[in-house]
Amino acid sequence: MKLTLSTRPVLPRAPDNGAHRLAWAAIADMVFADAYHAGVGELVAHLPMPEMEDAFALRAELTCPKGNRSALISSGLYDVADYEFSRVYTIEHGGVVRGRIRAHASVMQHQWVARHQIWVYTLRSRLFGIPIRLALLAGRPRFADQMSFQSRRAFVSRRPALAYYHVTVWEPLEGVSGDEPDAAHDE
Amino acid sequence: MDKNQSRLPQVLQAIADLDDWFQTMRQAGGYGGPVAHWWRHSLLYAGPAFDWRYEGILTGYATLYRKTGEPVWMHRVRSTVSDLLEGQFRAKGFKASEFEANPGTLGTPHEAAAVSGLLNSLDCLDAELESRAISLAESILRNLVDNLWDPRVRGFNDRPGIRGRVPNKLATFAEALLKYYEVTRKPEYLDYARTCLDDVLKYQIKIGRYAGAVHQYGPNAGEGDGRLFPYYNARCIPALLLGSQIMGDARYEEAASDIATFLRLSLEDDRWPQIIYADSGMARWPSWIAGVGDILRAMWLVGENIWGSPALVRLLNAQLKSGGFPTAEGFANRGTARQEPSGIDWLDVLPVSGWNDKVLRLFAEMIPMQVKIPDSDTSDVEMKVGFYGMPGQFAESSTGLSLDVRGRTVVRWCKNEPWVQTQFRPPSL
Repeated sequence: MKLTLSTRPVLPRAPDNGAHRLAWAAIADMVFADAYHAGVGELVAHLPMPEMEDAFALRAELTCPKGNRSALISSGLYDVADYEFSRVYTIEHGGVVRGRIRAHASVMQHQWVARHQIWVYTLRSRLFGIPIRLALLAGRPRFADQMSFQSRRAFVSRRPALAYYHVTVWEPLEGVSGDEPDAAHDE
Repeated sequence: MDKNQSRLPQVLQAIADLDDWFQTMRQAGGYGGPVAHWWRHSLLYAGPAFDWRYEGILTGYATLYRKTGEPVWMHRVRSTVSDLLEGQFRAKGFKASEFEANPGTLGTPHEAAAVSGLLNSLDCLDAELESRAISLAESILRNLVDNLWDPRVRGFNDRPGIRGRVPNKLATFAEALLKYYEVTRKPEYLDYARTCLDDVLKYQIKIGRYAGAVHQYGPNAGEGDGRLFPYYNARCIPALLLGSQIMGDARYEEAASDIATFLRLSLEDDRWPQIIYADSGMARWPSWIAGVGDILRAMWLVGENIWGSPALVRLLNAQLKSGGFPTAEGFANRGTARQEPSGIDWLDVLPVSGWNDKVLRLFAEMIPMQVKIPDSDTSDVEMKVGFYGMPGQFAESSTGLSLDVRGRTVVRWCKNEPWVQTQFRPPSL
């Protein structure tokens, strides 16, 4: 898939730890899986931090497109020129974000509709880090494993949650198909 | 024929059917498919991945060629090697080498395992392909050394800059280094391999109930973490035996024998639990099915007659009609110690290239020389499964797989596509 990458940092310094890298991978997976099946052949990406670029570049190289539509990855809908793109992926980041209010404002302004939303690296997931560390310090690996599973299950949410990243897939209102896949099964 | 080798016809048919399934998993660029694992899953990316699946696929097909002389297996080897030759990302590691965390690069032990597969198949290649394969092996191994070497404590980390030791991964790395040394006789690779294997010994329990077992992880290159995975213990054995053979160090062979003792003791009827915790308790589920190929192979390498093993019977009887082997039992009860799983989870039956390669390698090595592999006899699969507590219907054909729940298709993968369509939250974690 053709990918044009640039970065528009929203924070002076990107967080650099394993959980954030996991979040970037989860976001990139979600974007590329959706884009591939939506027939996107070209992605223009304005990423919120340069450290995310490798995850997107790798997936672009691994994805042979099956369509020629174009899509944008951005931190908001404000730089979308009408219907230049058939799909837009917004990645909100900046401390812990809730996401829903800003998304709603964008819908009203630009006549785009959210098709999917996910909240990635939730605060709940992070808080499980406390019992994990305590269990490891106490030499209780079984308990640490159980807490690790809980942390992973909570890492991505399709319901509004306090999280470090909020990703929304947008389609132009007129292009929305009848089958709404967002009525999903959560764990 | 040994009376236990009465299972030979079943093993030969299993090879034919498994090969049939593997060819359905092959798409442009390599072998694909989603991944279910203990740590996490990779259920969105399903394109070609250059992880440990290439260890078993290459070794398995190369062994079949040596034993049968049938050109089809040589062609399989050569096309699979060609995948790897095109699989580097930015002339460093492989493009998708993190298996359960794919797509990602610098996957451990996956890149080393793929290199082992490559080096195991050199005699099936023509001179030009062989030369390119050896160059690629060196490039991948050098990249691993450059990124993972910890000069202060002289050993290999699992992640660049994060001090820690994962013995089973070090064993896989050692195996690739030893094989590369055998091809090139470059002494530095032997030194690196020795360092890896000495670290494996460092994490082996010497006395007590679990004597012989190797810890899963050594944080900060310090004490072991008390998690004893039978599967990952088995992964240490081939490297220790190879190290003993090449370096003439009896400690490695003894360590392999002690691990085998732990594996015998931890077998429950016909299956191994996922983890035994050294302090107390276990995580019985998921209990691997296809992955048992590696455990049985380890027992085979230490001289055990596995033809009579109940674990082999369980493995053979689990093969799906598609020819693939299911991943496990008990994903719905992951991490628990309950006696029996509560039902068949869809992740249990999901056949994964990077688990099935273990079966292919095992069966190829078990069969005698000059046998004939029969024609395959496979068909579509339809099974009732569980999906987060809801009843579902799993289906697999030669062109795709799907999972229907309450009248909706929640997972659909066309086998020639790099991404799975899912209708539930990104399930990669």
